[in-house]
Amino acid sequence: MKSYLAITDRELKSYFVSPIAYIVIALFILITGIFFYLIISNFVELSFRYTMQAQYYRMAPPKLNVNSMAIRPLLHNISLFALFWLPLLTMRLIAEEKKTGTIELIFTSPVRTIETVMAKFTASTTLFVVMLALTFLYMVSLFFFGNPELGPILSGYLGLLLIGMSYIAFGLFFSSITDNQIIAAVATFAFILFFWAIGWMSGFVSPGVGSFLDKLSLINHFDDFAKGVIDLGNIVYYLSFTFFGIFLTYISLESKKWRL
Amino acid sequence: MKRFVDYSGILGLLLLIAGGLIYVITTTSSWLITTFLILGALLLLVYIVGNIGNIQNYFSKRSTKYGTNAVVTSLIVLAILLLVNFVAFRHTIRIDTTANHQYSLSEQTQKILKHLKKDVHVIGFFKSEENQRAKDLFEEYAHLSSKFSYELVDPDKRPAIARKYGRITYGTIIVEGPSKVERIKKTTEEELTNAIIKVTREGKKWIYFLEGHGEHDIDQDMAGETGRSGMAMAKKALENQYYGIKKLMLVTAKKIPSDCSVLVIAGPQTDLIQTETAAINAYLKKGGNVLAMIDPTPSASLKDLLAPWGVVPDNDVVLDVSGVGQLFGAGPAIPVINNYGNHMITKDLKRMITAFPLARSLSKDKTIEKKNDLTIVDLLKTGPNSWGETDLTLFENQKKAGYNPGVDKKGPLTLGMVVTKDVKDSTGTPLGKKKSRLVVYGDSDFATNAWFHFQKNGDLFLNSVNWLAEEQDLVAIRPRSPEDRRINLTKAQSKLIFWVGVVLFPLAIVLLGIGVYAKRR
Repeated sequence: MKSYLAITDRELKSYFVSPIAYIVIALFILITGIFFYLIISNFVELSFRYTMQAQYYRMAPPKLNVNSMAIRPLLHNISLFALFWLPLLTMRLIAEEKKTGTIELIFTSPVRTIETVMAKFTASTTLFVVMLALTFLYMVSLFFFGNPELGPILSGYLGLLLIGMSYIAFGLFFSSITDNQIIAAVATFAFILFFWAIGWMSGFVSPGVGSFLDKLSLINHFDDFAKGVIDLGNIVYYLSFTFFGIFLTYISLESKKWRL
Repeated sequence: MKRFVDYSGILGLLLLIAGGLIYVITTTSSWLITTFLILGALLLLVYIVGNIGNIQNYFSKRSTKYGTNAVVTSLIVLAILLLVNFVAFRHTIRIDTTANHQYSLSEQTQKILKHLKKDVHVIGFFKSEENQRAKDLFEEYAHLSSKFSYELVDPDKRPAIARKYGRITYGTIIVEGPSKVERIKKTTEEELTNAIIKVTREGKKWIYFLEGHGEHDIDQDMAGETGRSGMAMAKKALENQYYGIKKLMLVTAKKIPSDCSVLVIAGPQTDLIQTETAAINAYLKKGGNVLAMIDPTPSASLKDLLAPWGVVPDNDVVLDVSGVGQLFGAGPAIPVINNYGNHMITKDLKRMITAFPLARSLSKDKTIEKKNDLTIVDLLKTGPNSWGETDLTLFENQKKAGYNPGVDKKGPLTLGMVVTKDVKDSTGTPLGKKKSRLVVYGDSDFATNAWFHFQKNGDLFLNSVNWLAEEQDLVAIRPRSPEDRRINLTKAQSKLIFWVGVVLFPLAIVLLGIGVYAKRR
């Protein structure tokens, strides 16, 4: 446990003492901010136009909901940005240590492999939580200008955290099987994108296989969170995905030990 | 021989993969796939047996041992995870965090889905970018029952599927049960749940057509001398909705069969005899459903049958000189209706037209309505420029028709009526929700082959039968629309959000990073 905390601390420091983390976070915030600004402006303009139209035709004013019309698509966008950003945060986790040879120290030290793996996972997840927390400030700002619902926003962020953890777990795994950071990032990206899009194939295969592919797809489980429904099955799915990624990392590091 | 054994492994694998691929692509199992799989497995077996020495060697290596161990453990873990997920999806818990439970289904729907025993497949036809609401709704249904499946189809992108279901517009939803199909136009829980109730209902419903009084022949199609007055088109349309059609010779049958959902009396020429009238009345009183379509004299008026139900057939022919009918090629003797009463039968016909060649008007007997505790609704109303011509010799003598005040009945006239009455037992307490239902039209030609496809005539006929065939009342569900939650931004506030959110905020983080970096150097 002690070494777990020590490694987590070291990993976090290595993120935050170099300017890389700040630039990565800043760009993430910037892109989210642009989308936030565009989606909200669009929503405001739309509700203004609909209200004018309703008045003109003497109809009942339309019901416009910022949660389902603006925040829900924004949450989907953030989950997509995370897909682009997180492989860049996870690519160096183990690949760098292999390149520089420090991995030998881990193998020969008394620290258990699982502690190392969990520490690296925790550090990346913490960084991601920081990123999410900063984007949450945008949501908070909405409460000054209207009355959005808090429930669906919170459930959406729970979904973002869970889907991000799945990305990080497999980013860690791909970082553990190569000493080239670019390969680690690209492999993670391709793998996640594949599982993201696998549901789209469901229309072209038999219904049984199709619904299985639908269930397998990473993004299909996210929409419930984004619209404000917390489903136990979705939570179990993301946790399983995350667990399997961490487990594979562990296996791959353990098997390296005896290959040496 | 050795070469064959070596190649058999690769060949066997290829066959297995090909078999699997063919299955995934064609989605049906056929003898070809079975042959591929069996042959592939056999070849693989030959390879393994032929190379048993090599394989043993390979597995006794240390690296293989660890390697296989890792692969096997991973596969076992994966299998366990799949199982856990399967169980979690089957017995999931869903918490709707929205304030008005926008994504939760009503208790009625939940109950119906829980007891759903037959497969129901729903196809929603929407533009790809406009199917969100439908998807949200269907998704909740799919979560509650494994018997419920759905697909969303863009009719522009996959016209073949759309064509299979006839006329499809954006927003049409097809609900397919094991033996019935229902189509709905509104994406609401109420419509969808009611459609599911309808398509999963047990048993075939039988529609009986009365015979023996010169009624329109339901087997007569457009060909032949009397083709135009046949009703084969109506019959076909009913059969398409999975109704069973039978003819009923009441004189010999004596009473209405117990499996009769709706009795249709389609334009009798001669009046019914007294025992027939009594039998139909007895059937109605027990909660029967009758559709009576009568024509002007010399056809039968069914006066005796309709009298206890408060409907009085007038002795006239409805003429309409407003000229609306001319637009559709209909003369004054073919009144065109676009004014409908407030009723389930006509609720989809608003602003649509129907035409009634040679029709008789109907009147309401208010004293009977009160006395017998009836509810009578006027279904069809002619325009103000119409009247009921009582001089029926008009057509024979080529006389000029005209409205004679005092003699002729002035429009608007009623061409259709719906009578309902709660069924009560001998002590006068209502028997549940059971009702006697009677629909009367002062014309039968509108449903014949010649007129069935004229504008909305066919729909009016089908709606009438559908409403009459409905035994149980459908559920009413309050729609749950999203709450009105807006954001109000002035121009200045919008600019503030841009400068603070998009420019200053990320910039601050970058500056922080540079600061940390500079300090460390």
